[in-house]
Amino acid sequence: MSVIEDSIQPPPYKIVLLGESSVGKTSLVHRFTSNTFDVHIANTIGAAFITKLYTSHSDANRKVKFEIWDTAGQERYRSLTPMYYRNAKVALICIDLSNFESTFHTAKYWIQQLELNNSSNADDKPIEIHLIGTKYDLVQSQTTPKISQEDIETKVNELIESHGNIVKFHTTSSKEGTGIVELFEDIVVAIDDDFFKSYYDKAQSETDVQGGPIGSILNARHAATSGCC
Amino acid sequence: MNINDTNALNYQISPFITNLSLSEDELISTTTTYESNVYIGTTKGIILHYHHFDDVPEYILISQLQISEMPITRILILPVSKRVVVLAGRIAQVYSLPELSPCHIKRMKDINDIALLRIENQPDSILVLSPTKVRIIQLHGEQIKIVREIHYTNAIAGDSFNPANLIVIADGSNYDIIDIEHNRKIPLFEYRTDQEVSPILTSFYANDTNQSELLLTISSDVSTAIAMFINGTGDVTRGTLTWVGEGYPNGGVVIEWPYALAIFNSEEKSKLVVSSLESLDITIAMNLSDFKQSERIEKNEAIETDKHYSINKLDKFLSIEDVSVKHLLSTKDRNGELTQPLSRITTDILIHNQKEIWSIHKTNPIIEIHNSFMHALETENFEEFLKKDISHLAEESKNYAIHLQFLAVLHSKMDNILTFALKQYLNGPIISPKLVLHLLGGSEYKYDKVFVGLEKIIEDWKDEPDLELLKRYITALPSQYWTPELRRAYYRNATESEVLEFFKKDSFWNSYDDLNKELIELFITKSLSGAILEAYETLFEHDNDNRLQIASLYANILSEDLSRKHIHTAIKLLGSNTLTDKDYGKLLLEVIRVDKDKGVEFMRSKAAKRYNDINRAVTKELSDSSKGFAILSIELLESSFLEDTENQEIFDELLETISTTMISSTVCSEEAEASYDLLLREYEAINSLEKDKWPKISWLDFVSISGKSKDSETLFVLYLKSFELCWVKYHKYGKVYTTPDHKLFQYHQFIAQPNIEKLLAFHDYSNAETVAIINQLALPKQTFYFPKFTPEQKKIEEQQVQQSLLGIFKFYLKLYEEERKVEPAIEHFVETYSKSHISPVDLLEIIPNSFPLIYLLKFLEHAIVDLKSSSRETNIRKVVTKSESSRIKKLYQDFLTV
Ligand SMILES: Nc1nc2c(ncn2[C@@H]2O[C@H](COP(=O)(O)OP(=O)(O)OP(=O)(O)O)[C@@H](O)[C@H]2O)c(=O)[nH]1
Ligand SMILES: [Mg+2]
Repeated sequence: MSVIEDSIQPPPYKIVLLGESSVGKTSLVHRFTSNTFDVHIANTIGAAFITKLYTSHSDANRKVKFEIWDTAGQERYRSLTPMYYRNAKVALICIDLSNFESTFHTAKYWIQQLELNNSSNADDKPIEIHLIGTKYDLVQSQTTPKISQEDIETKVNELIESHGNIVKFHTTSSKEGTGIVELFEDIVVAIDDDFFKSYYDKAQSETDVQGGPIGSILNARHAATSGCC
Repeated sequence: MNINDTNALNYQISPFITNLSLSEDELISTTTTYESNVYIGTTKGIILHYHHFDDVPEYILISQLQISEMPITRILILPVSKRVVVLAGRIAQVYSLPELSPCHIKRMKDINDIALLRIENQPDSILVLSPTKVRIIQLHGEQIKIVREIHYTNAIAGDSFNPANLIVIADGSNYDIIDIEHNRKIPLFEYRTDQEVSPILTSFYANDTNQSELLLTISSDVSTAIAMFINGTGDVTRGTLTWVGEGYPNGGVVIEWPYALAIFNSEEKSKLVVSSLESLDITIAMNLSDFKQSERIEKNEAIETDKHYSINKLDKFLSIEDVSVKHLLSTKDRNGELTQPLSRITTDILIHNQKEIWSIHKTNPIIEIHNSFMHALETENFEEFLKKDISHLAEESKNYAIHLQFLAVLHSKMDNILTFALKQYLNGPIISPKLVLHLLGGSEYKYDKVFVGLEKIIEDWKDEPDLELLKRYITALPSQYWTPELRRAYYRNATESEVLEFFKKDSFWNSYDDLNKELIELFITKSLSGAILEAYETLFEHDNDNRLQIASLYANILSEDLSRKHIHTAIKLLGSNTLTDKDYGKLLLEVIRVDKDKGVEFMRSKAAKRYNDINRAVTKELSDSSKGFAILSIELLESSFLEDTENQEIFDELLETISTTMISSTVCSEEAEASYDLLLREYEAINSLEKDKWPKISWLDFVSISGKSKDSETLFVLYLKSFELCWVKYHKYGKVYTTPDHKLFQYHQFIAQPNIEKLLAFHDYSNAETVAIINQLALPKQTFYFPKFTPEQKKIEEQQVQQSLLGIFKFYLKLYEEERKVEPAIEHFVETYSKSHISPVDLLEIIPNSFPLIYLLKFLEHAIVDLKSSSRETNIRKVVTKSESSRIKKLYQDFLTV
């Protein structure tokens, strides 16, 4: 065995998607990771994990490996969700714009849950929340929406004002592929410089000392065991 | 673990996760568990994550994670640091538990195998085997720390004792002991000869020697394998275990003390071989197949399967659904719908083939108890079965066992059947009353839910119904559990006295619902009249919504056959003001028939006003036969009349009724008639003109005073009432009532024809004088109906009044002349009327001279005073002169000098 070191990989960045069932979480992830859209997509069971390397369009140095947990919105799996948002940097809480009231309600539930979670492990940096209004294509084409665009905005803004860790509200359409790259670009751009710096510093120091701390143990052991084996 | 026969073990193989979502060419490669999570690695590099939610019995797939392109060969749980090391394609990667997020820890490449070491104070130490080294590593945060490193060529398997001061490693052909502390390698032995096999090292805790041991397998030849046992000091602990003719345990070996369970996969079949570590003999050999249900581990016929099975032991027990008792403890309702048992068991042995996973666990004791019962049923001997201790069973199993015990005592007709039938748990009787009813009452009674394991037994139950026992059961069962069927069954089979006794406890007689209607019908068919009445009475008391309807039915039933016993009830019903006129009348007559006094008393005091008409009709009908009714009839009429005294119709009816009653034989008996005659005589005596007592009492006042004290009070009251009515009729309505031709009405005639002579003859001087003045009779002082009525007075000529009064006076004088001592009457007359109607002079003129002056003193005194004042002295003098009585003259002189 040998502890291997590939050329330094971009830093992992954990993201969790939360929201009522069928708001389009999985569709959003699929559009982002494979640029596809499937009308007949099945409901997620438990959770799915997808990774995606992403380089910022504006700054090629900002490169991350998104580790995305796409959770199941169905009530049955609610109790599991905390194990997926643990240690996540960003939560994408999705609201279906074509079914605003109930999905907004669930979104608020998740915001609360995350706040409880944040307050219980105070040392970690709190999860940043992005609110995603999905299926924008559906409300655009609507002539008589159940709830007006302005009302939605008012409600969302109220929510953002009352919760400090909500960063932004985005509207997306996985069907038409709009707003999604922008969302992830926003996330990458917003990452602290320190995050990249400390990651690369650490990785570099490990490659520099070839066999560094490990090597020294190795050598010590080698001497000790050679007599036996 | 007990072996109850030589061919079976008290262990089951039960399906655990058998519907994995695997693609066609994807196979299970390894399994492991952590808390309520099961992780299944596949040959496609995927880990299936199953989770147990508290509210569903089975484990549910919650994620499928693509870990690698290569098969997953090991999933190593680090319970303390909550991480998992996954080995796939010789690369080990670390993930977090329980969800398997990647940990950003460097991958380890070129790894043969990994295993967990139990080093004291160093939890989660990992033994890492690579082609050139054996390492012990630990994870510190995101860093891998190598604790020990030993050069060793081609380590392919390893395990340690607990605690791990020694580890045993296998290379391509040998087992070696490695002393970690001292970095020493002690070669053990070769595990293979010519056959290509994988080494198997199984650490376990030996309950007999109380130490950690390792089992190491050795392939002797193609068909035979053996196992060696060593302890932490490298010593052999027991003899070898041999598997002659079974091949090599390539599916793994686990220890479930005191057994070693080994799986042998060959081209054509897979076999589980269980050997005893105590005797080192093979206990059971069982061929494995894709078991669809829980199977006991027992010797069986060869089953061909080309699937490769593996066995592995878990670090911790896993709670799983106990499918082994589904065929007993599931319940089935009438619609055939099954409810799975809640029963769970723990297991720490899993076996899997390429597509499905089973668990191996101890046989649930209820299976043994069930089998024992079946055996007892066959042999008709329940003695052994009934001795079985069921106290340690879990609730569901215990309930099942109690069912069996009940069936056992029932079938063997023991005394304590009810004790079992009535056993209760927190939420009611353990054995459903419907089931007991089915067994005791007969198969026409359907039970609705039953343990699947009992279904056939109960369907085949041949014992005759025992209705007496059934009744005792129902009576003893708390009433809240009486289902409609139970009540029906009880009433159907009970005698009347049992029914009545049962009523006291049966609180379901509170609504006139279909069942209670049906039960009443039943009582009717069985002619249980007492029960019928009781039923109606109870319903009547409790079902307010249907009160009127029940009242009617109840009244009809009561009327049909009323006995003295139910008079009270009937009266209560009559008094409830719920009956229709018709029902009321019918029942009332019935009450009267049975107990006249009670009936009369009721009508008199408690009957509601709205029934007055009926009451009257009833009493009228009956009044011929009884004085009581006659009077009551009058009372009822009166009560109506007093409500509306202007109602002439009732007035007439009342008068008529009183009059006819008065002379009816029931009231006017011979005795009463004699009383009347006596009263007349007494009147004459008391009113005698010879007595100096004025004014004389009128006849009616006399009757009203003296009649009360007579035996025939009824008669006299009626007499007075009839008189009052006649009088009012005449004076108010100007109508003459034609009285019956009876001597009792003699006096009544004076109302229309006030005849002074006749009144005098009647000795009613008082009224004779009244008539003389106002030409009508005076009413008695006491009235019944019209206390305030005063008739209009007709104007009468004063001359006529004088005439009449003088007539009366002459009557008195006549008597005087007949030498009767009526001086007081004369004295009264002159004193009374000289002041108003007749002049003293006129009076003096007709008083005979012989009349003693003494009686006239007062009269004269007044008269003279009068005369004086009116200067009519001359007239007086004339009169006095005329009188030749010297005494008068003398008297007169005296007066003049006054
Ligand atoms: N028109 C339109 N439909 C969408 C869009 N996004 C998702 N949908 C549809 O919405 C339905 C649900 O989408 P999913 O992505 O499965 O929703 P989800 O949030 O993952 O649901 P769960 O897995 O149950 O939590 C699917 O039929 C999608 O095709 C969108 O942007 N526009
Ligand atoms: Mg989904």
